[in-house]
Amino acid sequence: MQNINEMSVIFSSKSENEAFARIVVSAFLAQIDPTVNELNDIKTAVSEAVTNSIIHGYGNDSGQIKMRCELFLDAITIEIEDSGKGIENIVEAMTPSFTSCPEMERTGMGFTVMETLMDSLSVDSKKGVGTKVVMSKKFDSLKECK
Amino acid sequence: MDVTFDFFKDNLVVHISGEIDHHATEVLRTRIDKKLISEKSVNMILDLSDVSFMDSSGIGLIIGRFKNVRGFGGNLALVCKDNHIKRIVSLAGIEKIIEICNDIETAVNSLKIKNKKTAGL
Ligand SMILES: Nc1ncnc2c1ncn2[C@@H]1O[C@H](COP(=O)(O)OP(=O)(O)O)[C@@H](O)[C@H]1O
Ligand SMILES: [Mg+2]
Repeated sequence: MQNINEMSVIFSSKSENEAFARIVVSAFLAQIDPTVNELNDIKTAVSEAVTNSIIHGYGNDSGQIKMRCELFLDAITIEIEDSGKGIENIVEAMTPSFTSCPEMERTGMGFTVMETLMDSLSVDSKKGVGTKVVMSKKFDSLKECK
Repeated sequence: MDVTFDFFKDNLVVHISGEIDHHATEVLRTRIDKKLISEKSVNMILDLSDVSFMDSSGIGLIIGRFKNVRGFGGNLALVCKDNHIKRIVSLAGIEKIIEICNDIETAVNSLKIKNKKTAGL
């Protein structure tokens, strides 16, 4: 399907940019007027992926995070990509409650949250190269009125 | 994000407002823990009524405070009405160990019952 709009932003792996990424996605979605629930779900999933790039991908190093959004008539696809340390075992990482940083009060629920709130989630990662998370969500509110 | 404290019937009430993400939890954690230690209060109510956004970093914040309070022999209750936040909280199964209440009054009562149980009465 042809997208109706797209955008990408690149920002530093600073924790201040977790809120920035959420605001950017919300602003981009304003043109299609999603429901409050849909917007909350998307903002939360974005927050999870961006946070992961910052704390797990880059840790104490600094790097860049790229967020790319493609908007379709009734759906959005969001890619969040870092060039951080990568994930060695993706299946293990995506298991609910698995975290490599319990001492930072992480709970290992980030991927579970993304999976639950979005319609699809895929994770591509290579150790030492980086991680790319692609997720999409359909807007049921829009399907009905079209 | 902001955090303020008050007491309600000997319970330390922690009012959090704004957005709870990983960036915010670092400050929240420090301020709440400092208050808990200085007051030596055993029971804590985390009031999330004015929280407008929370991701899984908030789950870690809640569980971490729960462990600290339990370490002092007390208990913790949550006050939360927002459905989105309730959903995030329940994904982690928090409601199995921490009572989620609609208002502070209910939270105080649930802590009273919990404390009696903990004391074996
Ligand atoms: N972008 C990333 N780069 C490197 N490792 C990651 C990345 N995202 C996730 N991980 C790994 O996957 C684990 C699970 O992630 P998640 O479900 O979000 O839980 P949490 O962030 O609480 O640890 C992390 O602890 C980390 O080891
Ligand atoms: Mg995470």
